[in-house]
Amino acid sequence: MKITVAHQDFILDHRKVMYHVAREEIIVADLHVGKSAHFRKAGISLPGYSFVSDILRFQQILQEYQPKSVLILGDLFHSYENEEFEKWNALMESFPDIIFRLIIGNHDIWSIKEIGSLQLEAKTSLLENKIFYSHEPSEQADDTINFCGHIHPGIRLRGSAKQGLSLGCFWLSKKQFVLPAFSELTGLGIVKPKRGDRIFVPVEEKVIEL
Amino acid sequence: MLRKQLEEYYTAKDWKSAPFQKRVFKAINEGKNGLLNVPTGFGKTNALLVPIVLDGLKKYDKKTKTFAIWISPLRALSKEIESSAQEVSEYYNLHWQVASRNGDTSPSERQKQNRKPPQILVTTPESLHLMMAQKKYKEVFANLAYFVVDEWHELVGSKRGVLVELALSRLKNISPKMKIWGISATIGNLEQAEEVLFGYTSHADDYVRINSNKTKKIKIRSILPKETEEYPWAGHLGIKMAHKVVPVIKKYGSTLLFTNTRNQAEFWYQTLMDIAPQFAGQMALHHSSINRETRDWVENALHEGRLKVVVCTASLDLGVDFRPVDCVIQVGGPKGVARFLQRAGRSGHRPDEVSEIYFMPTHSIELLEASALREAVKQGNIESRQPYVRSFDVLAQYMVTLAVSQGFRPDILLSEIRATHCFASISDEEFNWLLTYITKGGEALKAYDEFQRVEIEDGTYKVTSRRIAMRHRLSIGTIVGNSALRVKLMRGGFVGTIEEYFITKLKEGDNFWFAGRNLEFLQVKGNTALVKPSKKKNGKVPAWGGGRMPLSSMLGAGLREQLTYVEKEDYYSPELKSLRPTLDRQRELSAIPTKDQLLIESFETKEGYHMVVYPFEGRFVHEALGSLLAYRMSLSLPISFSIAINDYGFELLSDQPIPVQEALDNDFFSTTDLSSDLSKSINATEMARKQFRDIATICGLVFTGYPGKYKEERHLKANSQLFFNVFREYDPNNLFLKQAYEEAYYHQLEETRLREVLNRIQQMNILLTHPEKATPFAFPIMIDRLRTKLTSEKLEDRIKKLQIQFSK
Repeated sequence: MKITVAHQDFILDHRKVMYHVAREEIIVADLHVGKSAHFRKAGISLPGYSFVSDILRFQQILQEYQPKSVLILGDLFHSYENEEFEKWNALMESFPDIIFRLIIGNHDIWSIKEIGSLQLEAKTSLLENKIFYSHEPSEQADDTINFCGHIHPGIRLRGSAKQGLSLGCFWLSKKQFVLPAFSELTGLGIVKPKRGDRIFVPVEEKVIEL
Repeated sequence: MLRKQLEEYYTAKDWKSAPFQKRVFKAINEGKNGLLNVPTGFGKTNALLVPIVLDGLKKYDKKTKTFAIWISPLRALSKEIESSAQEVSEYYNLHWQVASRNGDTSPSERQKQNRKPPQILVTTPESLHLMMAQKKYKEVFANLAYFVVDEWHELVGSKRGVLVELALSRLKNISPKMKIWGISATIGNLEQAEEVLFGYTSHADDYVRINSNKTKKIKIRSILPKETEEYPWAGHLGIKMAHKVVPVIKKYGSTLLFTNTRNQAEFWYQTLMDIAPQFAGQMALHHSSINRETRDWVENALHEGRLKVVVCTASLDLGVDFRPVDCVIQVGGPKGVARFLQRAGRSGHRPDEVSEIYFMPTHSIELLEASALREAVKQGNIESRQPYVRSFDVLAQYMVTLAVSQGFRPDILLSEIRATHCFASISDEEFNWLLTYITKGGEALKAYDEFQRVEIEDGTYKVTSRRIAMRHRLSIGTIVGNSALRVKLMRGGFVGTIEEYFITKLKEGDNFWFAGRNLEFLQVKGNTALVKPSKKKNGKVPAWGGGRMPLSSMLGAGLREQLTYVEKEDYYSPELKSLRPTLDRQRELSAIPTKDQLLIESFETKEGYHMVVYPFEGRFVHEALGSLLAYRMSLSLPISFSIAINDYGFELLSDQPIPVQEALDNDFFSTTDLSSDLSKSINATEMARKQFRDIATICGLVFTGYPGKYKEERHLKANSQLFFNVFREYDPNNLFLKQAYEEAYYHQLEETRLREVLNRIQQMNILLTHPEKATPFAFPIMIDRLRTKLTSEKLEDRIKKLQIQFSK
């Protein structure tokens, strides 16, 4: 689905990423690489199950869009764990032409040293063409909109006969555009949008606006 | 001569020995195994203890360390048994050590016991396994003469029973002369319980069953509303009628008021404090989340007759006898005859006293249950307890237990466990799979060294790492608790434990009711929630997890029987009489089904289209049946259902008309393709996932942590679930995964029972009515909030019908 925000075109992808058309850039939030490894450290191990499927999904996206760059809105790593870190590094190395940019998130603090060793540009925030990219939501001046992650937004829907659903979503309000969490392993933070906000949800192979 | 000594002891104690006690004595003298089927309060403990001690007089020698093991499911019971055993041995000048060993035993006391094993050991299944994880266990148990399992009816239907089976399978080999005795109340499958206890060894060929021929006299009364009052049509707390129990409590010396959940107990305690302040100081609350010391105090006070009323849950179903208790009140349907009798038996504990129990329904239809219960008690119908079979999680745990102590040889172990009821059918492949699991972690986990727990040395399986051994000892047992936080007063003193998810919803300064006190929440520190007393009147009441028991099929049949009387306008019992206005209303709006009719109501309200079906078969069966029906209907058209259940029936709710007639015409209650339809309709995976949580802990996949070291469970709760996903994807032949599905089908879904129900429905006439609004029968089901959903509509189409919840 194509939308225009701050006079720039974006394609929303049902795999919970979006594509900046002019810059040819994939924007994604909250990958939480190594979350399963975090469990392992705490005394229970898991083969890299969720990581494997998350990373395969991401690889497919990169192959499909062939972007010039990738912008990660924080929480690339859940906590530092060598093995899965290496897998991520391998993924980056397999796309040598893509520039990876990272906005450092709260979880990334734990692995800040390791991030330093990766071939990526890491920043705490980024302002480009009237869009302020950050991990956590942040207040901006009137002519600037904030793109962020962190919340893992989910929308709750209700209907008659006690029907209801909760779905991960893209949440666009006047001052903010919140991306869904990319990782399958995360929960949803249920948001209550205001009237006039736009909500986009991935449904099967496409994204629809509610 | 021994006979005389027995008589002497009873005379000295001023007891009359009952005929069954003499029969036990004779059987023990003849070297038999046995099962003693006696209700509590008839002197079953001494019936076995005295002859065992007398036999010890004859047989005990220097080589013997522990002479008898007495397994009791409850720590609280062990004290009583310990002191009885002490008395007997002192009377005969034996100077025996009698000791109990369980989770409450101090490390120094355990050390003492290890150095000098007691002659009579009173313990729990878990502690026994812990002892079998010690290097010297074979020497200690080498000349064991008796193995007694108390309250076998409680253990046989649980995985703790499997622990007993496994321990026995080994002890039979270590001390071949050991005799096995079980003590059990009456259950529907006593013969099977014997099979489980004795296993497939020579013990099974040489045992006697001894009945006391005594039955407890029970008086059942319902607390009925006055003519002018009406019971609420729905609800589960029953608070509204609380004032009716006050006169009952007044009338008796000491009363136990049983509720079905801890949450309900808290509500009731609070309400009684409000409406009957005259009981203050003589009233107490008892449930399993309350601090141990407080519970001990309550139990002691009850024993000494200092309490007028105790509000309690299943936590007092078993345990020490409280002689002063002369009245029991049951709030809400007990859902089973056995449980009702058990509770009734808590009053009038002496052999010839009458047990008095009052039944206090929480909504009107439950009065039917009371009437049905009385009938069942009169006819002596009691439910069975289904033993667990093929519990591979417990077996894996046991294998590591043996590996931690002296190690095991697979061929010997396999022949031992094949003689148990639980593992009689284990195949060589399954056994080898388990061996691989404990040594290598199995297919999916072989890359991880923490699952390579057991090593093989010259064919013996052993644990060599001290760390692994310690971790294992901490994990022995089959009771898996929820993540709980300890609640502590700021100025000191523990109140009890509350589930973490409840605490996380509290903010500083919020107050809540717990253990009968109003507390203000301050903060969480590690695994402790700090609180202080509060004077506020209102507060939340915590709820604890833990499933409610479904209505037993026996009681379900009783209910249908009762309705058959009603249909014929025979209001023979006080409950039916009192319920008459409600039943008349039901008849007027819809119909009363007889036992060969299945009532289905179909109607429309502003909520949507309802279809309510009443099989009276308990919540588990209804859950499956509701989903099955919804699924079969959803095949022919895109439709979304929300399903509600209770113990009497289930409701399908949809935003579009439900094709009820079509469902009936197409025989949607048939058993054809049942298994495959069922697996598609109910979320079997979700159910198995729930079962897997316990399995993963028991078999050692998930380590719940060192004592005192708190793990943030919110972070780690997903553990077992993640394992579950991994196995499903990478190791579908995983034995624990299969076990999770089997347990889901047999214990949660009650598939066997479901099949029987469907077959029964085939023989029944369908009674379809179209009431203009919700009927008294439908009402309590419709307010169920925990609904499951089933849909055959496309996600996109569903979304179109739904609305965003905007903030105000």
